[in-house]
Amino acid sequence: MIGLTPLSPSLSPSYWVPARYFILGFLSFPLVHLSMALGAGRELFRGNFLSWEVAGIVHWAILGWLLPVVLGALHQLIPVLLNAGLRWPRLADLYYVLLLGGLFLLLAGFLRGTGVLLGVGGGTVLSAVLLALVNLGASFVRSHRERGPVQYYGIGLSLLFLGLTAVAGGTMSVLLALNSSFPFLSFLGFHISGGMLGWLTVLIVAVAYRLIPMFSLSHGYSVRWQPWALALLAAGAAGEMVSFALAGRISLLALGAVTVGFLLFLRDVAEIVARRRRREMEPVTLYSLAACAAGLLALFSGWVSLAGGGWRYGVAAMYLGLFGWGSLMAVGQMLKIVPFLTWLHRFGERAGKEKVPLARELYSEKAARFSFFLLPPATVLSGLGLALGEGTLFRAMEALAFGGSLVWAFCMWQVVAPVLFPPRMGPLPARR
Amino acid sequence: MEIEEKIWEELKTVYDPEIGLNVVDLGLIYGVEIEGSRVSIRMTVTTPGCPLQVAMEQWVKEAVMRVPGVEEVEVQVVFDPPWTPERMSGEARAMLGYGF
Repeated sequence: MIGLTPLSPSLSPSYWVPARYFILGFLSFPLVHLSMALGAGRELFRGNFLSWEVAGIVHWAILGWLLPVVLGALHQLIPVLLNAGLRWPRLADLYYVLLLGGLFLLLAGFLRGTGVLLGVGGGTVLSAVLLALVNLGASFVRSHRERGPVQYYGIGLSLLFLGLTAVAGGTMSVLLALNSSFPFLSFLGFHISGGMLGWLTVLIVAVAYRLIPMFSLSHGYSVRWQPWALALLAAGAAGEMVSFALAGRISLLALGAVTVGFLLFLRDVAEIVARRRRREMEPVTLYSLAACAAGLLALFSGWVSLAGGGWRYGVAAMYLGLFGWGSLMAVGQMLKIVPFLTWLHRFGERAGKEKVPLARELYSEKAARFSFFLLPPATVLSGLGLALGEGTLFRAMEALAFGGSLVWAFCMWQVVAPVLFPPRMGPLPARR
Repeated sequence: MEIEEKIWEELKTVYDPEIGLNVVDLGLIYGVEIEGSRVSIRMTVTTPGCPLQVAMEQWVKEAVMRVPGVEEVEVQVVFDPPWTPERMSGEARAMLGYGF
């Protein structure tokens, strides 16, 4: 039996708490790209971006891919960051099951256009997210930290946005199931802005300030713009959410705050990467930079749309935000986080006593590099296909993105497969 | 001094699983103090808040305990002075292709 070796025995949850979220994400990510390659996004080209089909794909990408990998990473990162264990580790089992069940019900609801399934699925996902937030929030309170690093507040804010996004989404699904009349577009705007800008962007920026320098071994850099970047992004996200209720009157101002905040973040990232001590860029750093570039393109596309470029640029901005900025950053960070956790789980007790592989030797780095040459270019060109209304380009690039995501998922499979199907290992040497 | 040499040799069996170098060549060990059978190790990690910190402390402790004559080990993790890549051995720098 393989011994369980958490990062810190008293603080970190079991390997399986984050790992099962990661595995759900690894399965969903390539399938989402495949379904778009097979034509699942065609309604976008008819201007019907509020169709059940589009909503289904977007929710599959978020609830089946991004939310699980983010929750998996947070369940590992927050105890380390706060120096406090997860408040109720057993509760994590419950809301994983609720998320999985709610996701299937919600997707079935979108697929069949059935209000009842949407209502039950949305309500179940909402309960899973709220329970996760209660558990993670209680861990914050448990840490008794009077003053934490800036990322501490950034992560806290992003979780608040996640809660608001989930409440808006869950409420919409229930109201739709009940056929109630409500200001659908205002709810939707609140839901999308809260999810994309408030939760995803604030969280990625907060976590990236910690992980990018750690993984690239950067030294001597300053992060002087970090509080400003996080504050502007959070304020901009809140402004965009409220703007839909105010008929969009402060939308431009809010997007301006998001843009300035993002540019300040990019300025700090440029310095961090310039001061890295590793000459060769690893896939994690390459993917992080590609994600930043995609985020910049998403913002540009958003501005073009607002400046009269038309709804297609708005759709492209959403796509690039979700599959470029969010997904590429997640793909890169997973290439470090998953091997590292798995290495500790499999070899932590053997390290120093016998020859064990390195974390990066648990998967093929060549394959990960190869995925990098497929996934980011295909994602950007898919976004271009959406902006230009070129359905053939979009589907071709989604096929390429599927290939890239499959290669990446294969790397992740190489890491976790020996844990799922353990090879025979010799006994540990006797301790003194 | 024979025991100190053995301690340094054992410390070389503790590897950073991410970087692939032992803690001695990485320059993470700041000092070894020996008082009879009691050993105190001052060490650091590559970045404050490194998620490996607790595990590394444990591995270092276990490695030193393997040296005959050592009965008690205290490991102290410090961040002053902070670790920089310049602390790595020349061989380690060459291996990883770090630029300075």
